Amino acid sequence: MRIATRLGRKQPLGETPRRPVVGAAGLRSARRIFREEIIARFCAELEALGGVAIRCETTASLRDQLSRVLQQLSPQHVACWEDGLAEAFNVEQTLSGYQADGRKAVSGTARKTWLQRIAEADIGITGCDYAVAETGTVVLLAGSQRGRAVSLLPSVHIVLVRGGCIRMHLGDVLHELGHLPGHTGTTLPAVNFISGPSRSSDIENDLSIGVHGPAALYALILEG
Amino acid sequence: MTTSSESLDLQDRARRALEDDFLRTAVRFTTDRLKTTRKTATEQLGRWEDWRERGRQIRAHTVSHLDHYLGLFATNARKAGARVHFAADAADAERVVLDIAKQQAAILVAKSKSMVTEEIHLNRHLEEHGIEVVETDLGEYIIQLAGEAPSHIIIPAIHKTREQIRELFAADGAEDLTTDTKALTAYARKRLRETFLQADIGITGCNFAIAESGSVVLFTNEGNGRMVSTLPKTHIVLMGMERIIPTLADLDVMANLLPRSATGQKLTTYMSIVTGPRKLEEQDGPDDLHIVILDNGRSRQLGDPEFQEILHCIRCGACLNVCPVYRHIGGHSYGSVYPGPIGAVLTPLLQEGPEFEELPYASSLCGACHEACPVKIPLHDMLAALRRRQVERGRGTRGERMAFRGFQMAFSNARRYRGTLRMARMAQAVFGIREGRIDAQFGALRGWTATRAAPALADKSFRERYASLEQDVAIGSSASGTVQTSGADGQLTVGKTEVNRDE
Ligand code: SF4
Repeated sequence: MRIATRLGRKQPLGETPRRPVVGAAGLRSARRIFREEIIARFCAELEALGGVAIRCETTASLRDQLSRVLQQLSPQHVACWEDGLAEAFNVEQTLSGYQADGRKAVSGTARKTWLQRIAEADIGITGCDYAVAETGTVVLLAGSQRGRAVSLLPSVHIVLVRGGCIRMHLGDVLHELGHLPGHTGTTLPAVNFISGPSRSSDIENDLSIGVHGPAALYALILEG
Repeated sequence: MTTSSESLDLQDRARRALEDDFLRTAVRFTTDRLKTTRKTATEQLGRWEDWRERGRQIRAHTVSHLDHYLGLFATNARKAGARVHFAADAADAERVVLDIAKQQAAILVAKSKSMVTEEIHLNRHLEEHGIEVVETDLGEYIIQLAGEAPSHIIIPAIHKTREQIRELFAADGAEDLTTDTKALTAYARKRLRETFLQADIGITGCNFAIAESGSVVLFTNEGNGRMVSTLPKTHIVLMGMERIIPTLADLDVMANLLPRSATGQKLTTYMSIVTGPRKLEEQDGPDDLHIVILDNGRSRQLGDPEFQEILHCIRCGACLNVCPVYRHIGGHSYGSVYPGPIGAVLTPLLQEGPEFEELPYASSLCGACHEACPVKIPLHDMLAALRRRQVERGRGTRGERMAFRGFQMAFSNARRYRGTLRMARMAQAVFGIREGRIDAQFGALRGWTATRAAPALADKSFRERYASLEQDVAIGSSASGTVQTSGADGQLTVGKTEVNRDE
């Protein structure tokens, strides 16, 4: 009320005022961009941020690449989204050897215990809903069996990306988030945009990686 | 938390900062680096000026319709399941947070960086009530251990050396620590990990709040913002009432302007859009989300033609990095929560009173801040307007006011002007003239002449010499008199060169 008065109105404005442009409309060139360019750009940007991008043509090669990475890192415990991700990418076998406690055993336990388990995992494996080529970003929507902590607490984050979900610009993803099927704005799930490993320059400006979040980020991109 | 230098006045704090060599080098190094990375990042985007202009339009539109958008945001945030509280001032906000903490029987609060919580001195308040508050941003953690306040809004511990940091960590319980960045970081990671998992409440700021969806948007690099908003059962967001943008589409513009201007990144490592608390079927995320919307002097700027635009600020810190004054003296010298050009304008506006009146004078009015600002806030105009407003309200020492009134009297009347000049000429002989400059070693003029060139008055004014000059020209002889101009302080002196020598 006080605010409206200060702005010279008797009552707060009821209707959303019109304006000539919304968002970044017209600021980017409208040229057509091909899939290959988008994937190549995403990989280049992610690598520039210190992440690792691995392109895989088939599910089989993605599986091979994943076991190679896991062998290299030799984790004791791996945490993974349980929303059917492993099945969808056909990597259940690959993961089975690494989960001493069994993946399913983790679900349903009380929150504190669950978080503690994820915190003890060396690697967190998640999928992603979108990616942004321009900024080397993966975009994760929270949901059932898609714990937010899986991409946050373990030292290494491995994200499985479908080539088709990569967009060129941040604005493209934001637009789609605004039109998620089955959602109105206020039911939007928590969205995390992740661009490379966690970083800080707080000590004498010296860049350090893995301050609180993961110290390494691998993106395995399935192009097919 | 208090600044150790809080009791000193602006001049003393600045002088002390100038004496600290490391600080000066560090501040200049960082701000240089940020300046260059910002330049690269803005060039890469392309059409930077158009993006800036769009940013300005969005902020201007939102702020001038804040009544609507703030209401819309609150409604939608509530729809999303958040609890929204309005706080008129710092005390109000503190009370709200304390009530929530008491309800939760909280003993440990984990915080990520937030200037608003600094503004209301929230930590001190909670600690007085026996609640432990841990800053989890690496830089903030360091200065919390040191018992200091941030000196830069993006890099709070810009003034600390790695040796100092090692000592602080050792006192905190770290053993066998080297000054290696990796070792220091690893210690903080391990130490704060426990805090994240044990904290009852997580407190964050808010970079943007989206009206159409009731979402809060957080930009962070270290991941502590995500920790604090994900792991504890309760998440409290503190936001200034002007943080609103209308739509998700507008976030596109802000997300391109803010990180590029702040750190030269295309996007910060993490950008989180949080809409309401955890959904029922989720394994993590907070059960309760509280959003505290703070006024604390902000609404007073609404409708003010000169200062409303200060509410457009997106707190990127770019104006600090380009400011010649900030680069010399660093953040603590300002003695306020918000340093640099933005602080010099914002602080006296939010907190009226004598305490921060001199802040608008900590600027050279060069306009670099305006050039750098991603939403084109005319900070230098505001600084000048603030100075004017203070003079109108009677700030300034009595001597200063008298001098200016005298100035007005003397210059508005030709005869009085001539008389004044003759008097002044006599007076300057008392202060002492050195190499054509007044060199006051005592008295009221000393502060002025110590840092400025005050050209001495010629023994005869141009007016007085005009008649004889005409004669000189007529005779065609200029041997006895040369005309000399001196541009210092925009004054024009005309006279014989040899006159002004120190006798
Ligand atoms: S005034 Fe402009 S440059 Fe300074 S912090 Fe605010 S938005 Fe950034």
